[in-house]
Amino acid sequence: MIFKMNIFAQSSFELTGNQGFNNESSSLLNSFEINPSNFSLLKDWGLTLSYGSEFSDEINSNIYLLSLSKRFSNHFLSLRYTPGYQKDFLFSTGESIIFEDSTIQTLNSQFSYKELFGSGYSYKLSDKFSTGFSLRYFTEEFTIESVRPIFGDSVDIIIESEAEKNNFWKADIGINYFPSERILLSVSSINLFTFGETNLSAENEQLSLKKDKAAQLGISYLPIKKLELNLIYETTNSFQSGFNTYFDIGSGKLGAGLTAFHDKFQTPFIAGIIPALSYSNNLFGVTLSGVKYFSDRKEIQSFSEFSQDGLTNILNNRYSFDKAVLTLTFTLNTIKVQSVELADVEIINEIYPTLSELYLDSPFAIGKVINLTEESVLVKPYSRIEGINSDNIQSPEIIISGNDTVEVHFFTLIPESVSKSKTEISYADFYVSVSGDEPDDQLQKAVLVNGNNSWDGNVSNLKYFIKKDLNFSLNYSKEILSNYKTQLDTLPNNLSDFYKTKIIFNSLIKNLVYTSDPRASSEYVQFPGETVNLKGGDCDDLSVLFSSLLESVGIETALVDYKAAEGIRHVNVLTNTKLKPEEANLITENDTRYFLRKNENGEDEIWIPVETTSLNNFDDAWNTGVEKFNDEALQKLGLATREVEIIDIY
Amino acid sequence: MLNVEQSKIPLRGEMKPRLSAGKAGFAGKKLLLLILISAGLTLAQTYKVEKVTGSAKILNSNDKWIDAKDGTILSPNSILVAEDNSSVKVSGNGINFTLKESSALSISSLKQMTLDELLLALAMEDMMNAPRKKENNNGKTTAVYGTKEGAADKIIHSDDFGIKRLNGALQLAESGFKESAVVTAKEIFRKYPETKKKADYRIYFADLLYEFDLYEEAYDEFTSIKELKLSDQEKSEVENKLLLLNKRIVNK
Amino acid sequence: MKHFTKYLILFIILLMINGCDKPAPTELVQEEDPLEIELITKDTEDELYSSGYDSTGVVYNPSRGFANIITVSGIKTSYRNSTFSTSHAQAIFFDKSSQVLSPDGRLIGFHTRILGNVDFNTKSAKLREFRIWFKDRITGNIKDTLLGFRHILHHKPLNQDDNFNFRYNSSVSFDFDPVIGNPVHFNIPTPSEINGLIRFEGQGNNLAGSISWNAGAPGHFEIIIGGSHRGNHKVFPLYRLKTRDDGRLEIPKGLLNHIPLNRFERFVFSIIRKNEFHIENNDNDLFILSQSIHSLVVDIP
Repeated sequence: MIFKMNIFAQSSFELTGNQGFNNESSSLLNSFEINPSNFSLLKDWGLTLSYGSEFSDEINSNIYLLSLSKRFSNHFLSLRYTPGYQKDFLFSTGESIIFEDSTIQTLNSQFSYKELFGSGYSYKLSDKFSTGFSLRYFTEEFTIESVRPIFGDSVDIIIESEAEKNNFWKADIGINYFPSERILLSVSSINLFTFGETNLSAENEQLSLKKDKAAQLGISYLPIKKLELNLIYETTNSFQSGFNTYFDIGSGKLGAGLTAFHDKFQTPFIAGIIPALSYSNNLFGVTLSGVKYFSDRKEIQSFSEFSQDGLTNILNNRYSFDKAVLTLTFTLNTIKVQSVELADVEIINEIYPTLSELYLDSPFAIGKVINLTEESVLVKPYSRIEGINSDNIQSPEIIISGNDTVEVHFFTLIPESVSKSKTEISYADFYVSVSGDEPDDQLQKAVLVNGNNSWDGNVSNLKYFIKKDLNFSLNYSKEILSNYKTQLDTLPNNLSDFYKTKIIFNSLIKNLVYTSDPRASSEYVQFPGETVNLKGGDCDDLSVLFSSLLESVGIETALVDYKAAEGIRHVNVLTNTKLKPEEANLITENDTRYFLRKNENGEDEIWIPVETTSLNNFDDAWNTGVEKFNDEALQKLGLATREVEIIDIY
Repeated sequence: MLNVEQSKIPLRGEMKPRLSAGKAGFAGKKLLLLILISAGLTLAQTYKVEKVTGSAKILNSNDKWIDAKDGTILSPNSILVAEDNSSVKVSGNGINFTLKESSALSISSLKQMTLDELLLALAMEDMMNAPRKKENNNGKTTAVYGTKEGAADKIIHSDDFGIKRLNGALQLAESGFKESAVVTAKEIFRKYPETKKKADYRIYFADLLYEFDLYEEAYDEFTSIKELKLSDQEKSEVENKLLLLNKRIVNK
Repeated sequence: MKHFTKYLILFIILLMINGCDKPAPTELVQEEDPLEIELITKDTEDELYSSGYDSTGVVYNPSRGFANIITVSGIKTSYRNSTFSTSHAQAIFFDKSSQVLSPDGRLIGFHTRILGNVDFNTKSAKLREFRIWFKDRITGNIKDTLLGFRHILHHKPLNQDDNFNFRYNSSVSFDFDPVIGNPVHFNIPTPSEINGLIRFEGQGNNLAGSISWNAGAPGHFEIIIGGSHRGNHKVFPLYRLKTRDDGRLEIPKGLLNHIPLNRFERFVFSIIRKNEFHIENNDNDLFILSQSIHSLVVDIP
C-alpha cells in the first residue's frame, strides 16, 4: 500500500487522500472529494482513521475521518464519518443593545457548516472500467441574534436567537478508465444532485454552502513504476497537481509526495501545498501530511466578502488554516493474494468407479500450476469429483520455485459406496492452495464418470471386479463346495486346491453360457454376481467370475492377458494348485499341462491355465488353456515380448 | 544307464563369435529383438511319426497314452516316449528327428531357435516368476507336504520320466536343436526336481550355456552344480569351468 | 488479529472522546457601522415619556437630573407626502430642590423657576405653562401636572406667533438676562439640515426597513423609533438607535416586527443630528442641545 498526498482543488480537497491505482498502491481512503465514483483497488476490508490539527491562534485537534470499506467481488462499498469536516463563522453584526442597567450586549451570528457522513459505492465493470457514486450528508446551521421588543404592560427588548438549520445530501457520480496499466483517467461530477434541503430565509440562503454544479477531470500517470503524477482539473477553474514516489524498505514501502493546488477563491495562484510522508506494508499504513497555505490566514475576515463569495468547500477555503494530519489505514485482508494460478487441467483418465484404488496410484488429471510469486511456495492440490467424492481429496503437495510452472498430479479415491449404473458426464473441481482455507485458484472440468461395470480395458484392473464382489463369491463358492464336503474331506491336503478348482468350475459352468462377442462389450465387465444372474458373459466376465470364486476360498489365481496385436484380445485364468513339482503326477502325467511359478519363499508351485470360456467341463477347459498358454505365452515367447501378460490377483 | 554322447566342448579356437550375451547387455537389445522375433515367429509346428522302431507311446493332452504308429500325427502339447531299445523317427516342417530309446520329448520343443530367441526364453522365466504380493488373507492354506497312496498304477515314477525327458533334451542338442535343448533342460530340471541331482546332465547343459557365450548363466549353473554330490572328475571339471568362466566374465 | 482490532477500536473511541475540539471559528466583521440600540420607553402608556417628545422630538429624562436645559431644534415632519417644518427653542430652569412626585412615589419632575428673561436670536421667549402627563400607576389613570413655566419659542406652520427660525448649519444666539446677576450670552451652533427617507419591504412579521439620509459631519447622530398610538396619535418613543452618520441604516427587523397593531398605528422615525453640550456645575448644571430632526411618520404597513 502506498499513500499519496493529493489535494484537490476547490470542491475536492483531501487531507491525505490517495487514489493509488496501480498494483503497488492500493487505495482505500474514502475520499469522495477526489473520488466521487468511489473507485478503489482495495481487495477486502479497509479501515481508515485520520487525526489532525489545525493551526489557528489555538491548535484544534480533531478526528477528521473514520471510514470503513469493503469489497465484495466487483462491488465496493464504503462508509465514512467525518466529524472534523467543519467550519464555523462568528459574525458580529455590529448591533449592540444597551440595557437599562447600561450594560451593553453585542448581537452575534454564528454560521456552522459540517459534513457528517458519507457513503460510496462503486462497481467494476471490467478491468478497464469502473463506475460509482458517492452520497454525502451535510448540515449547516445559521444562528442569528436579533433584538425583539416585547410589548406587555411595559416594553422590553430582549435578544432573540433564531437558528435555521439546513440538512442536505449531495450525490455525485463518476467513471474511471484505465487505458493502460500506467494511466488512469477519471471523470466525475461535482454537486450533481443535491436534495433534502429545507428552505432557508433569504439572508441565510445566501450564506448556504455553494452548490454550483461542475465537473472534475483527473489523470494519474506512472511514467516509471515508482513514480506517480497526478492532475485534477475542475471546470470551476481550480486544479491541483502533484507527484508521489516510494521506495521499498524491508517488507514495506516508504513514500513521499507533494501536491500543489490552485483554488479559484484563494490567493496566491498556488494557494498551498500538501507534503506527505508515509510508510506502509501489507497490513497497515501511516501517513503524516500537512497543508501549508501560502497566504496569511487571519482569524478575522470581512463579512461582506464572505457573503458575496460564499463557502464552497468546508475543508479547504480561504478561511482554512494550516494543518497537520496523521492517517492510519488498516487493510484487513481476509482475502489473500493469489500466489499460484491453476492454468489448466487435463483429465487423463476417465473415472471407473469400480477401479476404486487405481486413482490412488495413478493420477486422473494433471494440472498446470504457475507460481505467481518470486519465492518458492508449497502448493496443496485437491479435487472433488461431483457424484463421486463427498469431500475434497488431497493430492500430494509439491514445491514450486518462484515464477516457475510445474505439472501437478491429482489423485482421487472412489469410496466403496459409490455406485453408478450408467456412464455420465460429471464435473470435477480442482483447487490449488498455498495457505489458509481458501484456494488460490480453482478450475472445473468435465469428467467422464463411467458406470460400475465400465472397464478401461486394462486386464490388471479386472482385479477390482474380482474383488468387489467377494462376499457373493464366497457364499456361492461355499455353497458349491458344501455339496462336496465329504469328498474334499477325504482328499489329501495338497490336492485340496486343485479339486476345489475343478469342482467349482464344473458346478459353475452348468449354469453359464459363453457369449462370444468380446469386442462388443470390451469396456463392460460384469461383476461375478451379475454373471451368475445373467447366466453368461464374455471371456472377461467369466474370468472375473471364476477368479473371484476361487480367490474367495483362498485359491490363488492370476489372469492371463493375451494381447494379440493382430488377433482378438483374450483373457483366461491361471490357478495355483499349490502342488510341488514332484507332486505333479497327482494331477497329470503330461508335464506340458502345467507351469511352475515360484512363490514368495522361492518355492516352485504348479499352476494350471484354465480357459474359462470353454464351458464343457473342467478338463477341456484345462486343455484349451494349456494349448493357448503353451502356444502364445511360451512357444511364441509371448511373455517375453509382452504379448502375453500374467496378472496376479491379490 | 546313461547313454550320453560326450558332447563337444568347444576348444578355444572354435569359440563362436561372441555376442554380447551377458544379462546386462541383453536387456539393452531386447527391444530390437522383440521386433524381430515377433515378426518371425511362426505358428506351432505339426509333426508326424515317420517310423517307429520298437515301441513308442504318445502321452496326449488328455493324459491318455496312445501308441505311436507310423503316420500318427503329433500335437504340440503331447509327449513322445521311446521305450527301451526303441527309436522313433519324426518329421515335419522341414525337420527330421530321431528320438532314441528311453527318451521322452515334448513335441513343441522340437524346433529351431535362434540365439536371440534363446535369450528371450531364458529371460521369460523371470516373468513367470513375477513375485506376488503377500496380501491375500482369504484363508490361504499352507500346503502340507505329503502324498497319499492311490492311483499308483497310473503314476510313472517321476524320476524315471524326468531322466527320459532329459535324454530327449540331450538328443535335441545332439541333433542340432541346441537352443531348444537348453530351454527344455531348464524346464525339466525344474519340473522334475530330482533330476537336478544328475550332475552329468547338468554339466552337459551348462556347457551348452558356455558354448552360447552365456557366461553368467553358465557360471551360475556351475556354481549350483558344485553343490551337488560330484565325482572327483566332475569336481575338477566344474572347478576348471568356474575359473574359466570367471576370467571370461572379468575380462568383459 | 482479534486483539489488534479490539485495541484499534478502543484507541479510536479514546480519540473520539479526547480529541474533538471544535475548530476555532473565523470571525467575520462587518465594516458597516456599529449600531447601538437602546430602549427608551418601557411603559408605552406612560405619558411621562411622551411628554417631551411630541413636537419637539426631544426626550428628556428627569432622572438624568439636569437643572437647566436649553434646546434649539429644527424639526421637519413628514407624513405621507407632505412635510412641514417647525423651529423650536426652549429654556427650562428646574429647581432641583423641589421634586414632583407621582402618587405612587415616582419622581416625575421638578418644579421650574423663572430666573429672568431669555432671548433666542434676539427674540424674546414666551413663558408658557409646562405641564406633563404621567400614568398614575395606582389607579392606572393618566394624570397631568403643572411643573411650572418654561421659556419657549415655537414656530409651527400656521402658527406665526412665535417668530423663531431655526437656521441649519449656523447658530442660534442665546441671551439670558437674569433678575439677579449678569446677562449671559452665547451662540449655539446648529447642525446641518437632515433629510431622511424611509423604505419598507415586506409586511407584517417580515417587515424590513431602511432609512437613508444625507450624511453629515461626524458627530452625534441617532435615530429614534417611536410608535404613534391608535386614537390619540400621541407618539411614544420606543428605541434609540445610535449609529454612524453615514447616511444609511438597515433597521433591525426585530424592532419593526412584533409591534402590536392594536396599540400602535404609525411609526415615527426621527433622524436626529445633534450637538450636545454639558456644563457641569454641581446642582446648577446646564444641558444645551442643538439638533436637526427629521421625523418620518409612516403608517404601519
